[in-house]
Amino acid sequence: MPTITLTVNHPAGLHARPAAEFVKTAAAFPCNITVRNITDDKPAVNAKSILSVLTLGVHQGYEIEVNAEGDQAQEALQAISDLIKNNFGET
Amino acid sequence: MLAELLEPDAILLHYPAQDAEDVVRQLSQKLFAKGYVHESFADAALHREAELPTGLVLDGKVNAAIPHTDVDHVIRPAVALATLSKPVIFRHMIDPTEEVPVQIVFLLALDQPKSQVAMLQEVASILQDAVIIERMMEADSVSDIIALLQR
Repeated sequence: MPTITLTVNHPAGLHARPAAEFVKTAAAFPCNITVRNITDDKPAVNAKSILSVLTLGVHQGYEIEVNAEGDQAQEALQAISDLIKNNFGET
Repeated sequence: MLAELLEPDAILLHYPAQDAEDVVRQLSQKLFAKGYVHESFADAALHREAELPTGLVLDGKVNAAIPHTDVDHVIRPAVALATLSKPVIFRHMIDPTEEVPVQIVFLLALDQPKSQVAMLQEVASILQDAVIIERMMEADSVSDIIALLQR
């Protein structure tokens, strides 16, 4: 099953707008997507649930692991990777 | 952290809010009166809510909103809370075109971006607990609310 590891560089980490953008991106794909906070070693949660993503407590500089299974899994991971590498559309 | 930051004088229970703006202004005023935030906080929180809404759909009977704003408007960190006697409309955090009828509001006044993440984490975990939310909605006293959050 396809998995990628990413570093969140946004100053706010995965909260508020970055968290909303992350969930919005994940929810656009039909596959199951989970995300895990590697830095704090927490269990994986549903990447399409904003409350679940907020409970991960991902601060700036933290590493996350994103896993996708099912239809368009590769495309979903690509979209999430682009979002985070582009710092959620902020410069 | 939440139980410590929750200001007892900024808890409104079964508040009959006119609309979302009314709740945010009432709670902001309580925090302003206690010296936690600048007077600009209410306008700033409403402005942010219009641009980046914070309505959240919960699994239980009621939905929540977690308005907050830039750290510049905050003097000392605090959290204000309202349970509402009838729902008011907030916009959905993920899809701002969607209306969310909200009956529980956590207004977060935090002075560091990093503490915002930690607080959102704690508030989100409470919001996922349908039993606690139901008990908070039923609570008739500030001490009941604080006891529920001191888990």
